[in-house]
Amino acid sequence: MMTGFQKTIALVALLAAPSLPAAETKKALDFTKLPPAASGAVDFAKDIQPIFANNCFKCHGTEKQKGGLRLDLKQGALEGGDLGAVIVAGKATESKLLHLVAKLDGETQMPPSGEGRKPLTREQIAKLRAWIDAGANWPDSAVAAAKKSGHWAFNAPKRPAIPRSGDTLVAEPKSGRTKGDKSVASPRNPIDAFVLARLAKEKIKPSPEADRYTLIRRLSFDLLGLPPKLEEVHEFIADKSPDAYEKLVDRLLKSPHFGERWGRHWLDLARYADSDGYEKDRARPFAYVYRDWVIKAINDDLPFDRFSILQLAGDLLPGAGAEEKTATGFHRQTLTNTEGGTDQEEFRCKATVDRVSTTAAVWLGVTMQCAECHTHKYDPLTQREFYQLFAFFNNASEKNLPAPQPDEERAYEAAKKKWNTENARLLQLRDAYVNGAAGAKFEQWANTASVTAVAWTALTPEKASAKSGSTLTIGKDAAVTAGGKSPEKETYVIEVKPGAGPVTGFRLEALAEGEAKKAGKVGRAKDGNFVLTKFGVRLLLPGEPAKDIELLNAQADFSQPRFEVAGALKGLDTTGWAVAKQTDRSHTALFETKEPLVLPAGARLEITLDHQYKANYTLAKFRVSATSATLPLRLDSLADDVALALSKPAEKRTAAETERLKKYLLTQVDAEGKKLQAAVDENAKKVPTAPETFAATIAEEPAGRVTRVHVRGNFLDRGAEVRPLTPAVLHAFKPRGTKPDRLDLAQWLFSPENPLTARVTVNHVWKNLFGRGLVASVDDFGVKGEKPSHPELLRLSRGERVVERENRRAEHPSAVARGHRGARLRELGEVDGKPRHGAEPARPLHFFPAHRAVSDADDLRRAGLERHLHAPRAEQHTAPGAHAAQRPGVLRVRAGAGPAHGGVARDESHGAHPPRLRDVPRAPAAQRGVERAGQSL
Amino acid sequence: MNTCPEMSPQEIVNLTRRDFLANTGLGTLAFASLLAQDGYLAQGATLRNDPLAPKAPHFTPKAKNCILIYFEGAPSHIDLFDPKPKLNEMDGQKLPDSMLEKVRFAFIKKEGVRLMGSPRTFKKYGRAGMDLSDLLPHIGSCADDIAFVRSMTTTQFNHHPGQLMMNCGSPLFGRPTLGSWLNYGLGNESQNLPGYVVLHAGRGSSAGASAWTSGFLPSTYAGVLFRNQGDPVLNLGNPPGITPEMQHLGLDAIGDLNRLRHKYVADPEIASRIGAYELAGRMQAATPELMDLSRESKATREAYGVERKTPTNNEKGRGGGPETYATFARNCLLARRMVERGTRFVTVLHASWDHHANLNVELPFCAGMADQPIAALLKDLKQRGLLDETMVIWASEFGRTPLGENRGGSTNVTGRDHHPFAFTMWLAGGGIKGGRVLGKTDEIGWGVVEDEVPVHDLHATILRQFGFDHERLTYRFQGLDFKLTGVEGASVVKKLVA
Repeated sequence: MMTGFQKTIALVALLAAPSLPAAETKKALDFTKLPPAASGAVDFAKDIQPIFANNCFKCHGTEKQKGGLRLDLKQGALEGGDLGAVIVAGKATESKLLHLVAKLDGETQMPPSGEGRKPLTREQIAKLRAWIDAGANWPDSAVAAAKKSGHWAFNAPKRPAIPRSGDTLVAEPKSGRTKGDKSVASPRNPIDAFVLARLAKEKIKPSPEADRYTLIRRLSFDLLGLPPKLEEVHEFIADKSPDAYEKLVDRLLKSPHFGERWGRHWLDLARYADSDGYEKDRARPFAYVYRDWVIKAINDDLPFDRFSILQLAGDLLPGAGAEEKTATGFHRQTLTNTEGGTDQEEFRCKATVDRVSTTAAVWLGVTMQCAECHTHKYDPLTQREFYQLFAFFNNASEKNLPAPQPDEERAYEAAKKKWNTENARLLQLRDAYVNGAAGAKFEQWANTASVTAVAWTALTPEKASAKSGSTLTIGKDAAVTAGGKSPEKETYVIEVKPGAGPVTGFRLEALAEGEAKKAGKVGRAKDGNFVLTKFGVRLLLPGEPAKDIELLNAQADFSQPRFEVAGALKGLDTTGWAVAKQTDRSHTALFETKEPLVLPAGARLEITLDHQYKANYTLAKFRVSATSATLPLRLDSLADDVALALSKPAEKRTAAETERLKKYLLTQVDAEGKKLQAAVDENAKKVPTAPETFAATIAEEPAGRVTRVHVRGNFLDRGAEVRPLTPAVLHAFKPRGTKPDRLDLAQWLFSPENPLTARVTVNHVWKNLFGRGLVASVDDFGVKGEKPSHPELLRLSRGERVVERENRRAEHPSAVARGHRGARLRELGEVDGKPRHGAEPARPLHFFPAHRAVSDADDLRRAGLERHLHAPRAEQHTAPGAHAAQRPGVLRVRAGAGPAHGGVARDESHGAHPPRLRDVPRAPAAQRGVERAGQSL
Repeated sequence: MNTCPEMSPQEIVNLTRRDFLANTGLGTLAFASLLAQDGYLAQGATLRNDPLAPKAPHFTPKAKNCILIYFEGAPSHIDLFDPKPKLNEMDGQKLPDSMLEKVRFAFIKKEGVRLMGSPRTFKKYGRAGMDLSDLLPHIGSCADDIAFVRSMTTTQFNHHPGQLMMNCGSPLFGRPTLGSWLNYGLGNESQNLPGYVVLHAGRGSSAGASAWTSGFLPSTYAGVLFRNQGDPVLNLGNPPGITPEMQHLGLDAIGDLNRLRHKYVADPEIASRIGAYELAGRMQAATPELMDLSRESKATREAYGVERKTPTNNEKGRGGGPETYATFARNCLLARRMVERGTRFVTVLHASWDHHANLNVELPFCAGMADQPIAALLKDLKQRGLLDETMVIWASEFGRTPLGENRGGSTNVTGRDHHPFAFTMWLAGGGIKGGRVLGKTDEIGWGVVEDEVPVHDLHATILRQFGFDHERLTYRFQGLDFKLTGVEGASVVKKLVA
């Protein structure tokens, strides 16, 4: 697309020919060809639906939806196709459907010729016209007449009959066991019944029950991801009670590691990572807040429907609090591109596409992502429907909420208390000295001290304005305070009337006394810094153009590296004067005039403080002063009031001035006083900072965006407008109000009619327990997905249910696992150490747990690592190399957090394979998603 | 790796069959015995059952190995490969608004942007009379072995998406790179080294691991990053407190467990893992020999310039630290040594070609680093008869604008912005027709006017040289048979291949 365009424009440039690419000419419509509307009442079911069924359904029906249009469903037909509406109710002549069936443009006709198809008759067109003109009434009762998809997954399962054990049991118990040993041969639950029935059909003997050592090992790995401790094994072996197995399961389900292990499975689905992805792949230091929410939710046994609804739309629940909002971190696991020169709208759209695709994959098991650019090639999902789902997420904004963790808060409070005590002690020591022992010293000094201070005159602005919307307030002390809106970039302009001069220099004080929100910081940026990209002075004389005053020899008491004060005279937007690491105190910069500036009467100076860097790096409060002192100017630490007081003879000083001088001497001149003051200052640097931990959440933008189809997936090419709506092939969408939102979508997933979510979820659990799902393509229940290997068992999960709790639609993993307590499938699995295949080799009759837990456990042992619940985040204990692989040369080893492990607390990057002690078994998070979930452990 | 759901019944049958063979006497040697044999497998004596076992492509290949020299950041085609006298004439002029209207730039502000000529002088090299800038005299001396493509185009104008596009054929995360596809398709000829190695000089890679990821392919096909200093691969030594015996016992136990498990589930990821452990063991022995450049003749080392000093006038430059020149030269030489030892694909990375500013200082620095070692590599390969089967590629994600970059606030215009609409790459060896120039850009180097080569066509051409029909080298993932060349269709650039 670009290249063709580029050729065109290159040509334009070189030939200077005013040619334009030929616009797509729209053929004029010839309305004379349109038959008049049929007279008399038109009945949809009798007159219209048969026209659609006989002429259109083949391409716009259950199996195919060419152009994203389907005419077999009311919703699909009235919404239109990928290119927009085809039926405009009440306005037949504006309806594309009629234009096409009547071939009004003389070119395109529907249905197209060929394969025995015939154009519609004039009579049929007349009826369609009348029907549309009358409002395109499509009674809901007519929906039933339409054929739904015949694909198994899109239809609600019927509960299978459970085989009766007596009918199917063919296996002889192993020798040494009595016939009465039901633990081997008789089914304990419906799953067993199906397994035994199938084994019987394949003429395979059921396995003997696994021994206790094996059982506890398997259960521990499956439920906790950890091997059992020796004493636990002994305890289990020793437990002779008939329900020892059940008790063990219960105990493991109560372990906090259960949430870690099963949280890990969920985090894979959520494409969890500790970094942004793309080129910079910056760390997300607080990603663990969401991770810990998942672990806790699973340990708390949050029902799966609520678990899901919170993650998709927790922010929209009435009275949503921190808990509900934190859960929405699920959809903050998308990639963020912080590379320079990117179009952020492009990557916002990409993240939204990801949200649609992931939601569809995780809860519906459909490959909705295929429909981003075109209507799905195999499943009945149109491109328009993709953007209807997109519309649910299009108003989501990314919001970071402060989320100090309880332990962090406790630590902060304790540190603060300790600091306050120490601070009070140091102040007391200093003041005791100042008020006591030092009196005599002062007398002597104050009478003899002679300080050559530069005399500065503060310039009180007559006017102060900000170009980009900040409000500037002029204070009594000649200082200007910025407030209100905090724009990215800002220019302050003040106008002052100095004395006669000559002015030899200007002084700019950046004051750490800004407005309340940023109190104690010199800048308004998040980190309290500012970047002054230009300090400029212009001379204003009445009736004359403003004249730039040349400044040079910039100096400052402090500049941060690479942001030297000299930069403030250059006017680049990439550098300037900044003071990082010392944003908590005031700073001073001096600028000399090239020549002493003599000001005629009526002259004003316009002083510009420009901040063109980025991200609100603007001054919080400042004051400009001028001097006539001889050059070169020097920075001195004397405050103006001290200088003034010192310049007076002792007897002329006021009491306040004397007091000020006293404090000055004793804290800044006298050795002992300085020491005491230094201790206070030193301690001030150590003031504990409040935890910066935040939860990455999703919130709804108040002003909604309009969603349009992105033609061919190109976010710059916007097509027809769409509303939030769910795919027509699935169950009906019943929003709470007229403006459907994410909460409606989340609740729709848990509607009792939903044929997919329960089965998809149970399939995930199955896969995590047995290494392979009943539907092997866990993320694709569509036409091209794998067929269920054991359809009855999958149906069972809907019908009989694997869980006991009747009030849930789909089940939380822990509930399912609990349901497995009696299931002997695993024990029945391994018979004689050989894999077992049925008639069809590609479909093993049983499955085995995945293997990663073993390797994880080995890692643990070797590294001597402990599993930590709620470790803030793991440092890269893999030694240089793991993350160095992500960005060689930029090693991201963070200090602080202790080593943590367990497949949960490790640092995960969106871009690189996760660091491992031994090998690299898992894909980077960005490419994980559902289809990758199975390979974790 | 979750390949099971994606595997066809036939694949599972095949795996099982291979597994059967492997376990009936001919199969993989146990790890302990490997270690006993000086860490080597007897060359050619084993039937390998790992996913990297050599495989035959669709038809007889011209190329067997690939050295991809990738310059992240995008070198300026106008200042290196594609002289534009007209642009020099138009220096300082504006472009018509109609031309800028729909273009998106990374940093350029359309208001007041001007064309910027090049200060470089160009000279003709080789049979084709290829114009090359004064910055590339050594490469010029190899012009008759090189096919230059001046008509490359891509769809991306930001670095990372562009790098993904060039490496993986898609601007999205999660797709395998060219190197992964070739290892997947052909396997690895080397018993002791990975089939896909990544070397880098200077500041490291800006794309990071995504420039050598295996994406949805099994992780065994991912590139292995070698470090520049010390051990090329970390953690080949044992951790403190773990004796070699303990290490063997642990690895043996894991190997046994893996083999046991593999018997049941036939999951290829387990085979990958067994292969990875065994390869790691062999690498412990093989890498020191590989990295030891003292075995090369002095003449060879000098030709590559492995002891070159990095010019000091660029200490603050973005090109990398004082070791950059030497490291890059060493990497070129190492690439040849790896290819000689059977490594399928070597990526040689350098990341500092993003010359938004200071082009006339930074580009000479980077080109100075690249020119001599690359030419030495081509000549060395040729002299050893390796160039016939080794394809060498100069690649990047896009080119640079004929417009000077007027980034806001900047008073000087000293660089160029990102330019996806036309750029130059070149290929040599592996059956590529040397001494050719393909494609033409317009008079200012903005757009392609002849023989456009989109990234997918380039990939299709490279795959063909390795014996693959790009339509048939596929991997099923999420219900789609994925190809390096995407779904939109691509064609082999016939004019490039002999």
